[in-house]
Amino acid sequence: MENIAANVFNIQRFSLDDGDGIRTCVFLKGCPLRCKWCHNMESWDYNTEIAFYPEKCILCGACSDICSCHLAKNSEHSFYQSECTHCTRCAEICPANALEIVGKKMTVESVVDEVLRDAPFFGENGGVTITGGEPMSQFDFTLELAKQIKAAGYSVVIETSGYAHTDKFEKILPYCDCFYYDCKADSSLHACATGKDDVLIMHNLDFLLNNGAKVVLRCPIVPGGNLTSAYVDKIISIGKKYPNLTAISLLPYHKYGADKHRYIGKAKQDIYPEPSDALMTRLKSKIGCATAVKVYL
Amino acid sequence: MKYTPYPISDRIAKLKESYLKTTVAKETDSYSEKVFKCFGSGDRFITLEFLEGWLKHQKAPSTFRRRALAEAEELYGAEPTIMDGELITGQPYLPEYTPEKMERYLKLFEMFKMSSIHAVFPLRADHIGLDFDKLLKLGVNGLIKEIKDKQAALDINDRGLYPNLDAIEANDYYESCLVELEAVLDLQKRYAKAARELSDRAAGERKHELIRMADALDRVPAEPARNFVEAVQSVNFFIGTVQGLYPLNRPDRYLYPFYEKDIADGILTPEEAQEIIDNFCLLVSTRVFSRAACGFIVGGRDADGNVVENDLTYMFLTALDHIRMPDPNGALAVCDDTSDDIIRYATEILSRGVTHPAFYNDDAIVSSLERIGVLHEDAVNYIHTTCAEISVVGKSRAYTTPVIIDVPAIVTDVAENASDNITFEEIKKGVAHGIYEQLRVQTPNYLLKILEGRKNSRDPIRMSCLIDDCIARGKNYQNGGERYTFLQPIMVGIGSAVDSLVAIKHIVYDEKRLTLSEFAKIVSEDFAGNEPLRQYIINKLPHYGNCNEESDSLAAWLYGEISDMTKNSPIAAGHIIVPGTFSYIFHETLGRKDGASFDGRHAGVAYSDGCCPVQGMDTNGPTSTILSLTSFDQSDFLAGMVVNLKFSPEHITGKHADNFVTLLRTFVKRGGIEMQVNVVDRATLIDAQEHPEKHGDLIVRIGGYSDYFVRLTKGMQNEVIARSEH
Repeated sequence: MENIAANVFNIQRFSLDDGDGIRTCVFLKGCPLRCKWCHNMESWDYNTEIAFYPEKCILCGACSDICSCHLAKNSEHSFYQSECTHCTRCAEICPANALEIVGKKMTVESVVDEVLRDAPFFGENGGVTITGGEPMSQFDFTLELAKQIKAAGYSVVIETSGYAHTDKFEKILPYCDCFYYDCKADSSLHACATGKDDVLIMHNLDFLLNNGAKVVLRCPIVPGGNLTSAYVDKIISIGKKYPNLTAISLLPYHKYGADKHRYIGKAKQDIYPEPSDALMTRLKSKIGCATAVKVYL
Repeated sequence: MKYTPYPISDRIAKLKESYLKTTVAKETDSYSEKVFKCFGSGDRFITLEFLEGWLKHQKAPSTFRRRALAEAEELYGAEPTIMDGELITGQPYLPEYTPEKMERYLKLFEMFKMSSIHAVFPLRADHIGLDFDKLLKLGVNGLIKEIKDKQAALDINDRGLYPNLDAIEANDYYESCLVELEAVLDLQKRYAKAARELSDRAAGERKHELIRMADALDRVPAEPARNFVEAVQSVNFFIGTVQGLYPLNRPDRYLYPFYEKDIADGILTPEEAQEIIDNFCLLVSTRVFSRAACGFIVGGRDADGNVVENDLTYMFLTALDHIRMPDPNGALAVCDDTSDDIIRYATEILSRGVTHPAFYNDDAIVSSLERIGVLHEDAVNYIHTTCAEISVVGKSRAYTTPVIIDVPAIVTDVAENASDNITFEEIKKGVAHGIYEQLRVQTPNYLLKILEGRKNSRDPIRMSCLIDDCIARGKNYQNGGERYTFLQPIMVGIGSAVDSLVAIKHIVYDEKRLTLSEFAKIVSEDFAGNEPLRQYIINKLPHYGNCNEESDSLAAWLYGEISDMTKNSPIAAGHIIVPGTFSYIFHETLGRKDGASFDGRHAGVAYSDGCCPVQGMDTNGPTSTILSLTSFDQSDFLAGMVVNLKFSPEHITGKHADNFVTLLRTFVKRGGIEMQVNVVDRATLIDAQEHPEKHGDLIVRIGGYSDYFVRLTKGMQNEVIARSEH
């Protein structure tokens, strides 16, 4: 049990938007879904990857000396990402951090050590948020991390798409103070927009809400991506069916990071228009009026 | 309870415009630039009237008395300046000089320089919190009476014919105080007359205001204040009619009894009080140069341990939001019992782009002052005398920046002059020794200045009447009259120094990439042709401020060494040495003149600011920065320990307001001394650099003081931009 490890691609301190209080977020790499609007492509693959930031490159040639995937000449650095075996040597040697390792194998113990450094700031509500990627996909790790954070006396939030076996949610429920649970699209669109249908996801939501879990429903608003009247109706019907939902959080789509794909050599995602403030306010009041659940932006 | 502030009145908005046109507030003014340069220090601006007085009173019985007579001439030569709309009045008389007068000024100034060492090597003037309680209780006439009583008790010839030198000197001090205080009373009378004349010509509401002003000026500062208006007028008149940095101290303490009584008696409304407070705060800009600072602190505990949190606490914070000026640089003292409400209120003000208030750790500062020998009842009344250096109101003389130590340059010096078989521990020892040597050499020189300054300091002598125990002992401050003397040597660039040591340790000792002399050669050549190494240092090695044990423990070691050497120093000559890292503008000026350093900093670039990490190197967010900066005992460093944090407005308000309260409380619990919050977004700063004309009102905090961003040098602007945004 001691050496359970996961691929962690970021530990972010002073996070204010992923649960109550001051929190530290642990981002686990890899996700079973492929949402069309997702710009966090570094969170898709379960394996370690190499990101390349050409604007940081000082053309020192250190990488091309040790690996044939890199060619630094004529004041240009070419990185043949398709041939890369993710051995990470290039990123280790790159002095300018133009090459960066995305995803590091970390044991539960080392993550606990790291995240509890900010414990003095957690106060009564703050704590640790386990997110991703999909944290339920690296379940043994997530469960053990949640147990240890809980045992240390701090709050645990899990951000999940809900796409995991129900028995996993059952196992982790006692160690999790709140689930930030995605509602990504109307059922008819779900498979097409995210790569998976929502049957299991809705089943798990039902399980959590019937078993005393605190759940915040997170709904991305992507005009042209998922925003249909059926989607809004779905959110409202969840709100009506589960008055014990803690809140519904509407997340406006943003283009920030839309060019991230090129850093890790992936194909460009579709770009959608950002919803206006007025639209978000309208949706908030529409959903708010139809349900007894608190809605926030 | 959520406090609802009164909105800013039209009067205050207009007054701000008028004050901005006065000579001191307007730094771009070529005249003030010129005179500023003459004095080499912006703290005190001696007028032509003063210089004429210095010439006129050559035959004064002592240099000390000559100084007082010249100070008095400055006041006799001053013309009352009552501005349209003012409720509280009194500002230094600094008229635009004609070319002829300017020529005369420069000529007299040369003479003054020749007859006074302190015009050439100026001791820092002012930087003193005066005892306003005493002024309000006794009035100037009360001070005069106290002086005359003491004078009468002096036995100048206590052994028949043989003179008592101490008594003669005390008598000279008393006479000098009286000379100046009489001149204050004269100016007061002329101000009262001017207000009366204005009221005769005014009509309606304004007439009543001017009558009230004239009535107050008939009485104060000569007599004890009887109500809120008189109290504020008295304080402003005493410190406001001379150019200099005399902080407003703890206004929610010394003004509160007047406010409470007036409200109870129905002669003042809170709304009127807010306008008066706004006016009082705005007047600071008529006497404080840009690049200088002058503040107040509200909140904190009183001598009985009760938290001070009243209407005035809120109103003085509100004034910062209303006036939006670099000064006064207000602060809120925070302890465990400080309410969340007032912290949230202060934070809301900050979120609107106002650079004050700062937050001071009340209990840590008070206990640290007590530890160095300050009485409890004095310690609770501390103030940052200008930017961030702590001293005690009405009891102390604090010498700010008597010694300025360029710590990263010492690291560079030690490493460049060491042989290759030196150990890392020996390098550390060399650095500590280098700091000690600078203290050892520079401190006596500064003490000599203090000795010289006994005869001719740069402060008006009358100010000492509000510093205990000057009148009681018959001695000016700086001549042993003050109860506490603080020497505040400043350590500049600790963050850069720590990062340099970490780089040396990794490159030379742990990784053995280079020998020390090879590394030193590269640094001395400003990393020319060695950019990969520089990038490696910046990107791959640990940096201070990220909660990294290696750099944190090196910083703790360095602070510990400095603390030990100042505490146990034999060179303090009875003064209390209180070090600090308040870097004012020195991190930029020293950085600009120095070559590259081992942390990868290029030649000519600013060093780290205050006690902060190197700009842009604290990449783990504010919690890590705080953990690093409080990983050692800060409380020995009362001469400025400013932790600058930059936030976006939404990170500290609305649903995140409570998170900021938690952050601040954790900072306080861990012994952090001062936190300053900048709420500016990077895009605004960059735009302001490109289009200064569009951002004339953008104020940023630098190293303990605030200034208009567009008035900063390009280097300073870049540095503000570089400070990492959390």
